[in-house]
Amino acid sequence: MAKKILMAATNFGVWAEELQAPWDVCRKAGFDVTLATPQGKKPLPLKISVDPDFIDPMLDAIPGANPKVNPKFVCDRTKELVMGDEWAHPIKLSEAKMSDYDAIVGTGGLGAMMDLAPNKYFKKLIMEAYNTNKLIATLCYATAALIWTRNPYDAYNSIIKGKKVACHPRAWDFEDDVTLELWGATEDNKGTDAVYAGFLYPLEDIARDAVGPGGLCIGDPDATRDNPRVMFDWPFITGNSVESSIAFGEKIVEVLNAM
Amino acid sequence: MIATNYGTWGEELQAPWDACKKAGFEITLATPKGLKPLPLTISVDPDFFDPIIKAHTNPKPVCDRIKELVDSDEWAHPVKFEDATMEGYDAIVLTGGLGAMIDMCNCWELHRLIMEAYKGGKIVAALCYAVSTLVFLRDPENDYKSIIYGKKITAHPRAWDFYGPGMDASYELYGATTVNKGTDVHTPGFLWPVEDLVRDAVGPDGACIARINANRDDPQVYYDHPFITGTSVESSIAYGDKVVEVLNKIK
Repeated sequence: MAKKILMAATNFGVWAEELQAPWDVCRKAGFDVTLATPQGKKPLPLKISVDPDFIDPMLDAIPGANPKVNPKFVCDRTKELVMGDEWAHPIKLSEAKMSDYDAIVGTGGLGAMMDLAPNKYFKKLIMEAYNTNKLIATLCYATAALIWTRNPYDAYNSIIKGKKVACHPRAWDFEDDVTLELWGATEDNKGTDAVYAGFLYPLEDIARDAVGPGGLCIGDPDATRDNPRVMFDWPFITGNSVESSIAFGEKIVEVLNAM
Repeated sequence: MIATNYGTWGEELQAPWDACKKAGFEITLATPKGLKPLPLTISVDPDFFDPIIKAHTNPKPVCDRIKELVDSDEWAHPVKFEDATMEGYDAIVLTGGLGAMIDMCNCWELHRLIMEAYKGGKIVAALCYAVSTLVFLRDPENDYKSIIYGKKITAHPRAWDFYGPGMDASYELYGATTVNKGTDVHTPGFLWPVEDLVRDAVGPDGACIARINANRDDPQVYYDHPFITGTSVESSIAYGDKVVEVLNKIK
């Protein structure tokens, strides 16, 4: 029987490839993937994440880094998915039951910082997955949900205490104001006008605090498409950022197929 | 004195503002956009009933005083974070409210100001969720640990966080105008569990004080130099008083 995956995405702006890549990789592997969002609406990508000419301002300042983070084929494929029917009927996170799935996957994007990582239903599903020994995979800023899922039976430590995780590097966090314009927005699915003062929280720093002295947080600013960074430390798969999106999807497939 | 443009909790700005003014201090107000800091509508509603602590949190005289301040000129001309510097100031005082989570807590410009204060040996005060700002501000000269590492710090208790079903937060403002209207965002309750993050950030030699029995008669603020921190709205007056007490002692 095909493995069943619950894949969660934000309604406030996904980073296109961070949903598209794991989606396509898991579908291609023959998995049964259910998409879930906070509002039960189609997850739309940030405009800047489907623009092949977008220059990442932080990577642009790092010598040798490639600031063009959106390959054209990724932008085209994401737009195809947005215009098609595949993402059009997600369930609401509040209606998902972890007992129906073998794994839960959290995808990234600036919007995920506000409606997915802090989402009580998402965290509840993660806790259920954790307590029933199921795979939990998060990419980029969705990993904040792991930091914030606290175990009341372990002094409210994070569930990643003592674990090895890959994490969006501090050096890549935006410092300037960020808006969340969506590609494909409609009147009843238009995201939010909130403007962030840079990123909403420093993921690498709080992840380091959360894993504690026996854990390891790798915020690798040298990660690239050719050298992506994904960590697997059961039950967690964590991925660095957009450059590691494909590797993140592939690791999910590898681990689930090995089970 | 620092406040959000996405919705202060009225008293968490009004109380320290009034206490410091009454003490004769010279206060400059600063906000992210340089716009007047407006209170969340629910924070100036005397009938608002906090569903978690099951109490009315906003006394009518407090609501009236906040509206008076909003309708007057006193808060109308804040400086923008990016135009502010710590030079000439003795303290930086952060005020709370849900909006602070979006435009203050991880704001680079605000972090710059706090770091200047911290490195300059000045008082750094934060109330309620604004305490997250101290959690997120990292010291590159101390292995990127939080600046509150090893300190005793108060935190809004986990048990009070808006979190359960029906606890989504919206950010409607009292006194909103077309140029100063906040944001239409809805968040699934609070954005992060500040008590847990403070506990992680202070480390094994620090302490996170998150008393769920703090109230107006028995508020919770703590001074561990250079930090003054306060729990939540019930401790707003005590927070302002502590800022006054500490600054008067330093002089």
